[in-house]
Amino acid sequence: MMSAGLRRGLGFYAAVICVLSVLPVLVIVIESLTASDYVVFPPPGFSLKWYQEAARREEFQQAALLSLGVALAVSLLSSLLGTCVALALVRHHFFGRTALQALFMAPLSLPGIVFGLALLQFLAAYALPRDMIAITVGHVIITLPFAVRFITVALAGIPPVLERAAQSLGADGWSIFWRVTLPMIRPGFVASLVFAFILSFDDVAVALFLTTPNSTTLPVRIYVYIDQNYDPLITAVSAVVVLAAFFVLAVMERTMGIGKLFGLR
Amino acid sequence: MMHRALTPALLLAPATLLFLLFFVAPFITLGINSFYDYGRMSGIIEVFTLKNYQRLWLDDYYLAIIGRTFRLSGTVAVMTLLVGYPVALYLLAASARAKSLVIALILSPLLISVIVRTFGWAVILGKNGLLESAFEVIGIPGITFLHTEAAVVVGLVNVLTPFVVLAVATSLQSMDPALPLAAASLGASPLRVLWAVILPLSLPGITAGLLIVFGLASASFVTPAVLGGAQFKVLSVIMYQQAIVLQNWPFAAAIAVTLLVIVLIVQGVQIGVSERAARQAMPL
Repeated sequence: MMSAGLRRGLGFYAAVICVLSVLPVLVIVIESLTASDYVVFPPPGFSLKWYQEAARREEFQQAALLSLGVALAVSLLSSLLGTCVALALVRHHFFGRTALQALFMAPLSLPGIVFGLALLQFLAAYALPRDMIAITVGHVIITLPFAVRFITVALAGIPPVLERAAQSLGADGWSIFWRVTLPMIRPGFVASLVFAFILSFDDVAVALFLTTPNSTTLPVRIYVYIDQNYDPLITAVSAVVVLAAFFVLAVMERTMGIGKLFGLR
Repeated sequence: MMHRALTPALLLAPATLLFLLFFVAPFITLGINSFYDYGRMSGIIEVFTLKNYQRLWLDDYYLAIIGRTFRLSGTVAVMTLLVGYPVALYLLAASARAKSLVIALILSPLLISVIVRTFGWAVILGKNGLLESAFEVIGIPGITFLHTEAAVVVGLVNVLTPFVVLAVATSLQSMDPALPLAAASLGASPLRVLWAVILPLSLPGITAGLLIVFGLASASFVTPAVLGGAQFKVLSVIMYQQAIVLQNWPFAAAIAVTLLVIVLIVQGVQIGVSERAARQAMPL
C-alpha cells in the first residue's frame, strides 16, 4: 500500500515521537538519582540521597497513603456501581434509559477542574466537610463513565442465551449473576478496577479543590511543592509513582494489551 | 426472583442518587453562585447580579485572557494533529510487533500523572535543563524557555498527542484497505494516494481529534500553571486563583461557567460534525 521508503520515513518519525512522548518521564527518573543539590540535567553524579530525603518527608508519605486509600475505594466502588448501571442499561429497556446513559457519561465531557470547583462550592453551601470521603465521591463520579463503558462492552459480548439457559435449568437471579454473568465479564471488571484506580491516583483537577491541610492527595502535594520549590526532591517522589505505574502497566499489557483498552485493534 | 420491572430500578438507584446529589446539584450551585455578589469582608452576598459576567466578558484584561485561552488551545490542537497524524498513519502500515510497541509507547504516558510529566518538561526546558545542556555541547549557551507560552504548548502537545493518535487511528482502521491499493494500481503516486484518498477518508478522525484536544487544552490547569509560570494566565489558572487564593467564589464560578460553555460548544460542534460524516458515509 505504501512504498518502502515512505514506510521507513514514517517509522523513523514514529520512533522520534515515541521517544519524545516518554522523554519527560525518563528525565524525571534519571534526575531523581542525581547527587547535586539543585536541578541540573544531565546529573553531574549519581546518588540515592533524594530518595532518602523523600523517605524522611512525612507529608509525602501521608499523601501517598491517602491517595492509595482513596484510589482503592474508588476503584472498587466505581466498578461495582458501574456493573449495576451497565447491567440495567444493557439487559433492560425502560423509560428514560437514554437520558440516564447520557447522565452517567456526562463527566467525560465536562472539565474536571470545573467539576472540582462546583463540588467545592456545593459542599460549602450545605456545610458538608471537605475530606477523604468528599474526594472519593468526586473520583467515583469522574471514573464511573469508564467503568460503565468497560463493563457494557464485556456484557455485550455475552449471548443472553447463556443466562436464559441457566434460568431454564432452574437457577435464580443471584446464582445466574454469580455463576454465569460475573465470570464472563471479569476482563471488563478488571479493566475497570485498574483504570478507575489509575485515574483516581493521578487526578489533580478535582482533588485540587477538595484537599485541606489534613487531607491532601499525592498529586496535589506534588503540585503544591513544585509551585513553591524547584529541587530534585520531587523527581524522587515522582519516580516512585512512575515505577508503580509501570508495574500496573506491565500487568495490564500482559493480561490484555493497552491498545485494546483504548479501543485500538 | 425479583420482579422484572423492579430490577433495573434497584440496580440504577445508588448511582443515580449519587449523580443527582453530587454531580447535578453541584453544577446548579455553581450556576447560582455565579450570579451572586461578593464582598471582601462578607464573602458571598446572596443578591442577584450580572457583575461577575460583566467583569469577565467586558473588561479588556479578562478578554485578553479569554483570547489567550482560545489561541493556546487552537495552537495546541493544530500542533498535536501535525505531530500525531503521521504516527497514526504509520500504525496502518507497520508490522504487528512495531505497531504494538508504538501503541504502548504513545499511550503509556496517559497512565502517569500529568503533574509528573509536566515537571519532566520543566527539567528539560528549565535552567540547567536537558535542552540548555544539549545546546551548550554545540556551543550555543543560554537556551531555556521555561515559563513561556511555547513551553506550555510543548507540554500540552506532549500530554494530548495520544488523543489525536487514537482518534485518527480509529478512523483509519475503518477505511477499506482496498481503496488506497486501488488508487495506487491506477497509477497514483504514494503522495497522491495520501492526499486524495487517505486524508479525505480520515477527515472525521482529524476533526474529532482537533476538537477533543481543543476542549482538553482549554480546560487544562496543571500544564499552564507549571510551565507557564506565575505571569501566564489562562481561564483555568485565574479560576483557581479566584477560588482558592482570593476566595472570590462567585467570580470563580462565572469563570467556570464560561469555561464550561466553551467546552460544551466545542463538543456540540464535534457531535454535529461526526453525525454528518456518518450520514455521508452511509451507502445510498
